[in-house]
Amino acid sequence: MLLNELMDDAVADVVADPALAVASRRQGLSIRRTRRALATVGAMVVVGAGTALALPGGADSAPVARDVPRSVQPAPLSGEMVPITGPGAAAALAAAVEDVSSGTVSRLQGDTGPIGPAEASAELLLLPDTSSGPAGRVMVNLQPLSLGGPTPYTCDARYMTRCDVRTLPGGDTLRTYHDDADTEYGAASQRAVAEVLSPSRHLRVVVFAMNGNAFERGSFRDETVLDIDQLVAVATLPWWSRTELPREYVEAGANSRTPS
Amino acid sequence: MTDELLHTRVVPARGPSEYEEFVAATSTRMLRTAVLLTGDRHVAEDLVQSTYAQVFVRWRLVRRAESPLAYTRTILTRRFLADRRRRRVSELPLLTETDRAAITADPTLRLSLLQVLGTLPALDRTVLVLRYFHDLPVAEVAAQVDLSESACRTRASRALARLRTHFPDLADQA
Repeated sequence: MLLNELMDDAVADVVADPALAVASRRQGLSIRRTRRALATVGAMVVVGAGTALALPGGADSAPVARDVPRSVQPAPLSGEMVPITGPGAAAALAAAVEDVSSGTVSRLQGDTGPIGPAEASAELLLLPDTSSGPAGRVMVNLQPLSLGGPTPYTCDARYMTRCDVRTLPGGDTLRTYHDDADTEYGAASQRAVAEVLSPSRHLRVVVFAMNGNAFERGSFRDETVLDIDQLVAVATLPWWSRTELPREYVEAGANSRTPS
Repeated sequence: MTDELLHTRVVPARGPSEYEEFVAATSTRMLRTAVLLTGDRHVAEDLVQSTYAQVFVRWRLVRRAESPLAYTRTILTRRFLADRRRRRVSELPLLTETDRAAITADPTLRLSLLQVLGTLPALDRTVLVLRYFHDLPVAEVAAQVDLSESACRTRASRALARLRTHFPDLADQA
């Protein structure tokens, strides 16, 4: 007698109710509504407390989205591009992260021109549903291609480990690497990076994820909150630009709550 | 039906009804898993419904997963274990204290598999169900319940030994 046969026999007469799909969908919709409500309250609390992450350029750089609504997944993209905004960049990053991961995003921020003209950045904290530990910082930088370093693009052994460089269809270069033990965060910090260098768009997209965040110093997860594959999926989205974003993300960002 | 066959059949299509199709194709298998884990049909139904509710919330992610079935099974087993840890109540919904005493007192008493499974710790039960009902490799079971492979093997071996006290004909299985 085999255990699997014994198990099969024990539950052979168990059949799921066809109504399960309807009931679970209803319960799922309820969970979604609850999360949205909590996210809105959370955003108000964050804004009310005047909390802000330090982005390059400091809190005085404008326009900055201190937080945007938790659910920023827009309807299918229309393809229309409009001028980029900081809140729009944050909404775009959140949507991209939610698309490749399962977790809760918070403390969204976006900024345009923190370093120079025609640049943008956005960041958020991601708390994955699985595994334990603090939320991890996720950031995208949209920069001029010149900041990508000299060509041909290679791995800088001074700080890049587990580095890989390859050419994407269309001619863009994808560089992925790890940059651990950040001096700001500590020896246990980990940073995974995916970088797209696009001559045709004159664009450098850098997306990174960490295993901790500045609010919980000394506390780290075992791994970064997004792995290299997930980062690549975010960094290679075709609509990243230093000057424009899909209209839907800019609109989602416009609905964000900004401090007075 | 093996999981592989099931997986082949439920590769998600696109469209608003794909979630329902996925639930219809997989829910009996999930419910049977939940019954083996909980030992109680009603508790199992609640577990499965809440699992599929989570699947619905994350559907865009689940449908793109390499194996939506495996993703769903992971949610189910982790919810089961988390719930057990939270409640820290009886491991055995089907058994009364009298039943439990009878099992302890007389190992030759003929009991159903569900009753005997119910005497095992929840984690051991989960390991057995994933390993033998779902025919998953040890490495995959270990990853799913956050154990090392050696710890997983030890738990499976120990749990099988306990089952054999009630089912002496149980064959050796790797």
